[in-house]
Amino acid sequence: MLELKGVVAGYGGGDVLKGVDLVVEAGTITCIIGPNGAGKSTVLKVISGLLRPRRGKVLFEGEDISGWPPARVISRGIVQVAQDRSLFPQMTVRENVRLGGYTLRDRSLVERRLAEVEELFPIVRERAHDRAGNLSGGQQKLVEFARGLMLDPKVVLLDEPSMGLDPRTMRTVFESIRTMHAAGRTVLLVEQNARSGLNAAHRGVVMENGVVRLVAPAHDVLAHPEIGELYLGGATRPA
Amino acid sequence: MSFILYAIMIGILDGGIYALMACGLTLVFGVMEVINVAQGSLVILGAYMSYVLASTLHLNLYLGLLITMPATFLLGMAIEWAFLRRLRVDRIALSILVTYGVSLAIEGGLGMIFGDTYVALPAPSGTFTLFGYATPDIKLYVFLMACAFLAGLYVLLYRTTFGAALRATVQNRTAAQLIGINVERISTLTFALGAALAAAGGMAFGATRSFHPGSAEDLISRLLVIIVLGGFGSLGGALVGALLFLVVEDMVSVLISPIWGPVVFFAGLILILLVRPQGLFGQLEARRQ
Amino acid sequence: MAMRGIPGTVRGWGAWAATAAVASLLLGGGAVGAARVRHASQPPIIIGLSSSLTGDFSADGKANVQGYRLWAAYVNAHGGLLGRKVVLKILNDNSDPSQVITDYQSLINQYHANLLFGPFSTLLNPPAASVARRYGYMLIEGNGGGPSVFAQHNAYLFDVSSPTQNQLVAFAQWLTSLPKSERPKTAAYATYQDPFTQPQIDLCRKMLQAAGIKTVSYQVFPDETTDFTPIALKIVHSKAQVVVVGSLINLAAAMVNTFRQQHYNPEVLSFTAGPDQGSQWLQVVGGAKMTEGIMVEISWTPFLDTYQNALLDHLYTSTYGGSPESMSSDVAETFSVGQVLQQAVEATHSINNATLRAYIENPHHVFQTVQGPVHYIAGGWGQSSAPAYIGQWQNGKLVFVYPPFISKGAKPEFPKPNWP
Ligand SMILES: Nc1ncnc2c1ncn2[C@@H]1O[C@H](COP(=O)(O)OP(=O)(O)OP(=O)(O)O)[C@@H](O)[C@H]1O
Ligand SMILES: [Mg+2]
Repeated sequence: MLELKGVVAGYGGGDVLKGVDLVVEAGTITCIIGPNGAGKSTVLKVISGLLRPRRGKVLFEGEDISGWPPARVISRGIVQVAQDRSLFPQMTVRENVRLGGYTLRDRSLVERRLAEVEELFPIVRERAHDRAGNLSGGQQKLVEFARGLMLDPKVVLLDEPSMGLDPRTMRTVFESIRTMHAAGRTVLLVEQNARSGLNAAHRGVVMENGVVRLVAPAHDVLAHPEIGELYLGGATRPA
Repeated sequence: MSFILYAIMIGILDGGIYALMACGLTLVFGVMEVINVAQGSLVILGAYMSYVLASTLHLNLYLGLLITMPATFLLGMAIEWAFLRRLRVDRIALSILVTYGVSLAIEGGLGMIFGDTYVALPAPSGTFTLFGYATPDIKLYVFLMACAFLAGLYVLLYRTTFGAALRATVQNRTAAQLIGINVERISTLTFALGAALAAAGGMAFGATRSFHPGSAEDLISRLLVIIVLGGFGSLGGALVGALLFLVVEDMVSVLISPIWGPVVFFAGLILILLVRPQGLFGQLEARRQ
Repeated sequence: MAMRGIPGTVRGWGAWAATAAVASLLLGGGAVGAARVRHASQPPIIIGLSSSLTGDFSADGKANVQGYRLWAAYVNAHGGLLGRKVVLKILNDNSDPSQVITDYQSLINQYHANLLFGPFSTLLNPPAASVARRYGYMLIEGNGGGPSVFAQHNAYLFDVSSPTQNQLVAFAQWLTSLPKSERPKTAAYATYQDPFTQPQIDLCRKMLQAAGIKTVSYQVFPDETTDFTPIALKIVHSKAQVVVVGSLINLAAAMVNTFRQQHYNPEVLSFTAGPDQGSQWLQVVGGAKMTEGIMVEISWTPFLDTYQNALLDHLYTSTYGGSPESMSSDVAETFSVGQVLQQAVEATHSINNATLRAYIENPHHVFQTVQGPVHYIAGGWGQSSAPAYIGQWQNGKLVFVYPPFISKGAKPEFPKPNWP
């Protein structure tokens, strides 16, 4: 349903992505792993429209969406939750989540969706009037998820959602990812925490140096001797 | 004693005008990471536009704003589109260069049309008494006008969808893009809004003192200082910074000597920045996350 | 603003001018006539100068050159100097003190200039003059009158214009000349902190204090000040009878407005600049009624009734177009340089630098310039006696009221009438 064909992209000088081919099947959880700087986040940015590809194509449900601005990509049902903390820190939690429905012109729809995501993420209601910047990292991540779901997206792009979280919060986060998937969404996940990411995923993608090195069912990637050595060993070590 | 109170009041009245002139500067920085050093020139341009309308069409100064503000709004859109949108890397540094060029162009244009002579806007000459001192009515009127504009701006920022989008862009540009906010459009509108407010500030400035094309140069350094004190990107900071700056300057000026006004202020500013490098209400730390 | 003298009056200064004209006809004119016949094939006199045609001072630098050119063209059209054609050799110093040094060295060594004129500004004249001294040349200049110029103690430099510091001397002389019973007792001063206005105010204050006028307020404020209300209020508070302000037009206007609002009317209100700006001044203070009785110190305007000033107006407008008002005082100042040189050359029949220098520095030799009569002050290191005049707004016009030789009967309006 979502497909990258020979995508080349970069920020200034050289190419960061050097021809990425990738297919994400509808209704799956796909997890991209790879070393720092491999270009994982860049792949997500190309899909969400934050970065225009220099060459190649991004196809979504058969339509060429490469180079679309983010607002247009969102309207097709693809939402990205960024790697860094991305709430608006001076605004309240509720304002943040409501802004997730910024592109919806229908006010009552926004309120309906707000009620839905509050159901899914109780923290949104509990801390509704707190400044988002005052929440812990894990809480903020959940609010970001909630904000992303305001548009009822078909595809959710998650960039290292577990980064910097303690094991318990991390479990809650992965729990939410499974919930999203259960609700019929396609998830494309980038994880440093390769073991947890792949455990939650159906398919695993290994990136290195701007290209996709391996695509396989997640448990195969987990079992892959060389990959295991490279990424999984380190991932289980305490941070 | 009443003399000192009066100096403080004058500082507050003038501070309101400076806050109006500075608020565009701080908004533009917040949204676009652009330090618009042309803000002073836009203020003086607005003052000259008011001057032309008042002296040729004999238009009331406040009614004239109905023309000068939309005109500078459009000019602001054009400047943003033509120069600033193109800056993709090193925005802060490059924007200083680019807007400096814009300010030179405006100043040069005004100099060619009006010459390097001082003019004043025709303001009503009535006075009212404050702590026993006669105070020009116009100072109070333009102060109230500045307050009205700042209040309007507050409502726009905190009670409208556009305002929410603008604040979102200030607080996290990428995240704003990712929820579908067209940050380029927000940038254009913010810059245009800043220019329109500069024109209103220019009317207030020109109605309370005489000015010439070069007035922009003294002005911009003072506006930047106000923003540094208040914190880049903060509207409340612009207001508090402007009031503090003018009140301190006026008080020191009457209590000690005019030469010490800026010195005392800058000494205070350095102390404040040592404790709060982001300024009184700055959001630099929030932005860094 | 019209303040040209009544045509045809031959009184006071008018008589002076007539005498001078006759004298120059007899001396210079005669010599020129003879020279034209005898020395038709003589080489031209080369006068070297450098000016700031580019750089920070370029606007003033261009005006500086205009004054010299107008003078040279006029002299050449009237037989030259001692019958020899005057050729100006002009180099560009780019407003740069080290380039000035190079320029004057080449003017002397490469271009073999016979005489030297000065560049623009207090900054550039001292280095030019030190090169001149090294080669035994004198340097006559008109655009550098700051105290630092005379502090060089360079006996080869002559400034034909009023030294910056003396701008308020005539004003102080007028006040102290008032009978003790009429003379005000208190004065307030305010000035920009810059090397030009502050020394003027300080000298004036010293003179007034010596005459028993007490200082009740003295304020110095930084260049970038834009909010003048507190400064004006302090003066209001001091209730001084005399107010002297080292100003620019916006400051002067702010003071006038504040004083009027506070119903504070000093007996004497004087600015070093601002009220001399004609229509611009009337616009910023809100009309002629507001400015009645206000004084300003002026060293030159196109309307002064001085030697060849009307001629200069004519030369300027016919050469560069525009109106006399559009002429910068820089032009008059360098035109005066030419006038002083011409009168010295014609008096000595020489273009020898040593001869001319000895003649010019003699305080008994008075030169007529568009800025007024000048002589050099003994021990003044090139300071001239050129006066600054007191102008005062009277009935919607700026009139010269002091010293008497220029005022032709107009009297200072004192005390200043109350605000309208
Ligand atoms: N905004 C940017 N401007 C310039 N270069 C960038 C930018 N973002 C990323 N890069 C560079 O692009 C390369 C790939 O970055 P990317 O963020 O895609 O890597 P990643 O695989 O997500 O790494 P990580 O695991 O550290 O998040 C890196 O070399 C990085 O320095
Ligand atoms: Mg990344």
